[in-house]
Amino acid sequence: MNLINRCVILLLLFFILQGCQKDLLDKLPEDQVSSDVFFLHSNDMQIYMNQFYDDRIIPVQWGQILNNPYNGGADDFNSDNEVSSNGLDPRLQGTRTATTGITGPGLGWYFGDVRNINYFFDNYRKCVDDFSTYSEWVGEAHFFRAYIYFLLLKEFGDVPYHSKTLGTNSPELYGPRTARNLVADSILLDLDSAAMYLPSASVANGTRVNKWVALQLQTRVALYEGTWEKYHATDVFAVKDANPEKYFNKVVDAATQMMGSGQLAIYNTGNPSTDYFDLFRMRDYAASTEVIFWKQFSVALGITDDKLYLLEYPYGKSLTKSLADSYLCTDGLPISVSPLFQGYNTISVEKKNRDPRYYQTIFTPDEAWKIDTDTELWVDAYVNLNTSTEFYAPTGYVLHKTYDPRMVYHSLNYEETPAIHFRYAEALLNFAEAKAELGTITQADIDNSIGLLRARAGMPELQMNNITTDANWEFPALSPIINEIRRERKVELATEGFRWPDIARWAAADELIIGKRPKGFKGSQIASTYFPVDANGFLDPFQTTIPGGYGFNPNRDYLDPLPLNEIVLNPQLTQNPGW
Amino acid sequence: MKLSIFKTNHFGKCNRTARMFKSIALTGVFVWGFIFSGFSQQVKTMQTISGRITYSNGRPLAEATVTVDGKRAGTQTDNNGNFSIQVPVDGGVLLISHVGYKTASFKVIDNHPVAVELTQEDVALDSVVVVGYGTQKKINLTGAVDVVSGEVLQNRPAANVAQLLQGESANLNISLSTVGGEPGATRNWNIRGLGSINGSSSPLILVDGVESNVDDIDPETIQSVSVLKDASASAIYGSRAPFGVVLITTKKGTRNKGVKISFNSNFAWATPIRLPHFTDSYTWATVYNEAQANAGLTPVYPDAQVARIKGYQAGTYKPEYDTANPPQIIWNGRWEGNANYDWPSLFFKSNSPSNKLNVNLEGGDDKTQYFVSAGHFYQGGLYNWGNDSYKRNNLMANLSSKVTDWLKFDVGVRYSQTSGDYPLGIVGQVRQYNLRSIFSFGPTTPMYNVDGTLANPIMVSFLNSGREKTSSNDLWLKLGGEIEPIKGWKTGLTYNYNLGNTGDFQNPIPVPVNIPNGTIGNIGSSTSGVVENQGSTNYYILNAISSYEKNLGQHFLKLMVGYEEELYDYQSLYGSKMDLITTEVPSISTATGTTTLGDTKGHWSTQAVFGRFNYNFAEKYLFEFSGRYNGSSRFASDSRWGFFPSASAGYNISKENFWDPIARTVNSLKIRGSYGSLGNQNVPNYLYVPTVPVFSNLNYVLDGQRPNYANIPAILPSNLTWETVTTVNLGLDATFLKNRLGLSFDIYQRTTSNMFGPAQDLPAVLGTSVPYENNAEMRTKGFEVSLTWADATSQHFNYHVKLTVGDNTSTIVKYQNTSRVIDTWYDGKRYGEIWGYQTDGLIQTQGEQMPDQSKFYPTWGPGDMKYKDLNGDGKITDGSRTLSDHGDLKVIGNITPRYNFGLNAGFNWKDFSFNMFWQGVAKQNYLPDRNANVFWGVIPGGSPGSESSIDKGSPALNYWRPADETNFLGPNTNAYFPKPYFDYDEFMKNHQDQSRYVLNAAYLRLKNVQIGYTIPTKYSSKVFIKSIKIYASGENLITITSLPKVLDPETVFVSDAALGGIEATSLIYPLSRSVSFGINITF
Repeated sequence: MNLINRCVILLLLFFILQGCQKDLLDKLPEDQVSSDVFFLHSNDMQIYMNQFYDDRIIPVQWGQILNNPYNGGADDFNSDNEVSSNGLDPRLQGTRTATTGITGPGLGWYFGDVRNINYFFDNYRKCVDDFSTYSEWVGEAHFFRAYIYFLLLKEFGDVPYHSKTLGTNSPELYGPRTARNLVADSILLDLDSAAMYLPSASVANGTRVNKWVALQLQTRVALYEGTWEKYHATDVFAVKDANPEKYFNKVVDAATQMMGSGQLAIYNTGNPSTDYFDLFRMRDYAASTEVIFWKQFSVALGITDDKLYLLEYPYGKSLTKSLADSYLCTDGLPISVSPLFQGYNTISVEKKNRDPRYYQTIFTPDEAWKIDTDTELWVDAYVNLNTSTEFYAPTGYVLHKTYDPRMVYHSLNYEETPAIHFRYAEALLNFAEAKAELGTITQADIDNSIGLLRARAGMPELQMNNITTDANWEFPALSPIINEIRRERKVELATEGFRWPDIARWAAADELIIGKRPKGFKGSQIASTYFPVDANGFLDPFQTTIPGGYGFNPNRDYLDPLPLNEIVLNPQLTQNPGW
Repeated sequence: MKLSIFKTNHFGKCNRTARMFKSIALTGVFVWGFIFSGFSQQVKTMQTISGRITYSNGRPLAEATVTVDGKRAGTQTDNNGNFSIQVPVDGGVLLISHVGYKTASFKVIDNHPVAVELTQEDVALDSVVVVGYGTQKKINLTGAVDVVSGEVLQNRPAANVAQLLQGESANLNISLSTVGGEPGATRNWNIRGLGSINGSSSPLILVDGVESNVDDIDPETIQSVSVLKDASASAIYGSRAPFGVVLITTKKGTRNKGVKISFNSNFAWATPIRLPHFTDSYTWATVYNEAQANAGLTPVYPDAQVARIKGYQAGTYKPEYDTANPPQIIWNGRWEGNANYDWPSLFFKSNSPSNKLNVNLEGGDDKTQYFVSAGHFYQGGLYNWGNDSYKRNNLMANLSSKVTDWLKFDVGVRYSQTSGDYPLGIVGQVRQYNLRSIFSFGPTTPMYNVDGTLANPIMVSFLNSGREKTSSNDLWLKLGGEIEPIKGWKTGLTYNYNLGNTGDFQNPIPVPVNIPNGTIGNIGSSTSGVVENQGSTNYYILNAISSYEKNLGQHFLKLMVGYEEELYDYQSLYGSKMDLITTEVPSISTATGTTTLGDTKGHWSTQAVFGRFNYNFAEKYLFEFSGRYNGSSRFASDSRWGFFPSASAGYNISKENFWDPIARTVNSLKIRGSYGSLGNQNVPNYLYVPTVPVFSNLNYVLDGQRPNYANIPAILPSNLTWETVTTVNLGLDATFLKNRLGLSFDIYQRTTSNMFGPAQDLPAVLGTSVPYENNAEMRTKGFEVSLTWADATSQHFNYHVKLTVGDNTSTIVKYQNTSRVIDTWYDGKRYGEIWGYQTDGLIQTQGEQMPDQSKFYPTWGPGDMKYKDLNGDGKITDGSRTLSDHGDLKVIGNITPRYNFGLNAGFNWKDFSFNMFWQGVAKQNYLPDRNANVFWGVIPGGSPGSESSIDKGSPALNYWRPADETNFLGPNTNAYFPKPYFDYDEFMKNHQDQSRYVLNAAYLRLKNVQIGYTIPTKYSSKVFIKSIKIYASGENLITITSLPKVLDPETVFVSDAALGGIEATSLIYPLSRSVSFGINITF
């Protein structure tokens, strides 16, 4: 074999090596989606937004189920409306301490959801489809960023606000907190965008957010910030450059759009004794004009609840006398004044001539308890109250609202009872309150808002020029109209998770919490003496636990402490007052 | 050897072309074709040649084998070393061989007598060693390379190569995996200790140059194993081999030795070792009741039952439980029964057979060599009622052919097929969970119900649960060619392809158990079904290597450069379906329930250029530089490529003239040193690629659907790059006393820097966890010694001894742990440290002087533990568990195995051979996990004693009992263990990690002993057999350790939950002792 042949073979070898892949080392995952190609199409955005429909972000807000791990702001156990013999709220007691921990998703100094939502904004412009095909998802993203920051705002006040995801080297990691009014402004801006991009028709039968949900959240946030700035103006939480009117006007703007839409209405079939109650026990809200955002459950799909099963017995959870006393009599007068009020001897007497929402919210003996082949009335439970664990109701007032006595729907872990996230009534209440705070409220405003709620309950209209003084007003220093609007709110939205945020923004702990103990109905009406009674015979379950009443510290407890180690990591972070 | 060896060439130039064509043609047909080509011989006129074979200054050598090259027939020398043999006229080459001597060949000169002196084999220096992408003479090595000959791996009834190599090479550490001695169990490999705190620091294991599953290799086909320990030896493999390389070379055909067929067979019987055995049921009951009473609780076994237990033992009470009040619950037999069974010994076989069969065929001529092998291995399991087993079949063929004097090629096929068959065990648990149940099961558990049905649920589970069947196929194809256009310049191209698939099949079924009360319970799955997982891999590796070597006077130069690429691709499909139509036919097609499906896919690839330059001057001054420029798909394109260089040098002092005066004593001495730096690419695939995790079935209903949803990609390490492993190595090789004594010594330091560790804490506003960074560092130091002695006192007797010792310790140099918490790594932490309290003995009298131990429990009394107040503050605390504040805690031991050693010794006397192999660890601590019931005995569980076990050979009964103890165990105030409590808090107060129970886990184990007898040729040649050897071989025959008899020093560590073990703490599938008989026949 000559040299040429040998060289030919060498050349061949060379060519074989030439055949080697140049991009051999570029190996992208085959069973995962690389982020480079995600968000190119509108469908990706929908899939990305789906993750925010999660109980940890939008907690199910049914009032009676304690120990919901994600009740960030839900239910009323953290307020003067409800109590649980399983434990008093440590914030109200003033016993919390600052810790190092960062509590988990949905609560605490947690920015995972902020990061998740900002990732959408970092990337959605990659989409090659027409904007109209995905504007809705951009709208949802604005909504959820607002929602997530509002959770942080309520808990911490000033929070670092970022509209893009941070990297491990971002200087923003060590930035200061953003002033709460700037955070609020950013939230409201996001909601403007959300309202602009989200459809005005209900989306996915109301299981996804739409324009009205965004606007209602806007009324909520704006009212929160506006009243916070106004009522904390002179305490340690005072906001620099406060401008409550700006926010109240925002509430009015947003609510006005909703009220003028023609698409939203209070559920009212003309049956004042049942309409309010029925609203909370519907099996489906797809066609509702009032419930604009709700959560669906499905046994077939494996997403179930057991709300009605859990509500069958109080198990130590009950409503307070403070709530019960807020209900007016059917003449529109408070119990301190109305001749129709029959006294407290038994709950059946107490409920006589009261706002029908009273017995639609609080269980009374002649209400159906269990409807199976025959009907069992609440009286069967009532006589047994406080005799055993399942019948523990420290105050005697047991939640009736949101309960459905039809046993066919009760099941441990296998219920499909839907949950309400947003209902229009709140927007009306927000509107009335903002108008009143602005001082521009008119009788027509009242008729168009609170009037609709009172009409459903068959209650006389609130006449702004003819308000009877109530010796029991919770805020005697404030105007009668504010007092009555706040009463209406307490009654209408009872146990829906609004009460603590209301107390916080109104700086109302000195009136409602500090030094107070939650009380119940007359102890003499039930056989059990398991819980003590006070000098007037009312159940006083926490007589020995908190003899001096709640120890809430008004110069500290309205906000939560930042985790201590976070302040060490970032010296620019300042601790909230009092911690 | 004193006479020159003629290099022979069978073929004249005239017929070279014809021969070349023949070879080309031959390669086109199936490998078997070559076998027959080996038989073809030309007929020539014969002549008789006589001669004499001597050794060592003319002493006659008896029984040397003399054959004519290319022929089967041969003869042996007589006692005077004389022989005569028929040789073809006009040429012929004699091959003269003898065990322990170098084989010589001798070109016959017509009618001249032959005189040859054989020299003793000196494997240590002259042999050629397989190194990365080539071979090297051992004398010229500058790196730390150890060689294990394939011979030591043969004729042992062990399952796989790992088991055989354990202890053979210093600092090649091979340990059990978490399934212990189960049939088919793999082993963990490691060279020179811990390499990285992140997962595996396994060496790269190459079989004939390609990374293969070493457990699939038939040990009988291994020619040699090279262990490359330092960076200079393994640098040529770059980032693939940060923690050393094991090069396994399979047998190739031999040149000019004719055809050789060998047949090896081996039958073995195995029995479990260090298996705990229950004490009798009365003892259990007594101990349980005492532990219960100590905790202030009512007896586990009431008086009436204790009476039944005694009655059963005495034979006066026959039923195994109270027939008037039979147990109602499946698992309650242990509390309500009164039987007396030693369950462990019932659940394990006393002898389990396994066998091995292997047939090799090899041969070749000057141009073409081949080696063909077929092997079968069966290993029976130890479960008495489970019928677990493992099988492996191997086929292999290697062929190389030299087409012309400048072109040659290789073809290789390697195939292995394995299958395992195991009982599924209790539903929802791995099958090892059954072991845990057995050892805490209680002798009182009835075996039979009164109606004769089986009552023991574990037994039923073993017998009737579904099966888990595993299978694998592994096929390797190799095609390679090499040209040498200019003398000394060789260029080769090799392509290896691997197709592998694995299967895992499980069929969970309901397992009904007859409960004594007459009802039937189910310990299997609620419904029958099939779960299958099928995976397949495709892999190729292509390399091109060009080398040139040249001698210029006393200068020797060799340059090698190469290119390599590999691509690995895997995919698996997973599916399950429940509700079988009939359990007789478990398949997805015959199931009716819901189907679940899933898949995984992935791939990785590497590309590299590498090179090595050797220079030596008169084999005196040796230099080597090597390096690899390596790219891996596992890293982002900007940090993908790394260059890993190494340099080493050696000095053969003994070749200097000034050495002559002592050369007779110190025959050779070489010192060498190396330095090199390697990357570690052993990180998960796609770590740098941000992926959007997409999931189905959102946990929320949107408009009547549970749609897909996506999450944010995890934040990626911003500058993820290689972990860098830098090794400095100093070594010495010497031989003494006529090369009979060999010494090899290496000392090294290996630093792993840029190791992945947790990043600095970042503010929570980042919104996610901070990815790991290349920010940690670890240092491992160690040494290896190998001492050999081999001598022949006469031609009938030679013997050899080899001792190896390896040691290493690792220290964390840098780790992100600002508060220096002792429960994780911290700067300066020694790997393997055990933290605990110093034991101060047992409290003997109420109120005696002791520190405040209320941290653990409010009340303390006689029989409880007293801890030492090391910091003198009057109370026992663990401070803040940081290095600066650790209260009374201190380092009480270290689990690192120190001074791993192996001792191999044997002799040949006439036709007998003897060899034994000891292996051990000289220093190691072990603190049994708190759940190690076979050690502690009494452990509180959910139900009284459900986690306890009282075994013979365990210290369990040596617990504190008061001086006035009334039960039959009697007083024991000077006890090893504190007072037992069936109460978790009271148990824990006495069982804090503490110095008293740090055990010495050092051991010495006779891994193998072998006695063989070779039937003299004069008998065997009559039946056309070249040689027959019969042997007996035993594994794990003797274990010397101070551990209690219930603990096996090899299994305790891997079974410990704290160290990654599963389920049965301190007990996994036991190792076995086996005795085997075998035969090697060569035709």
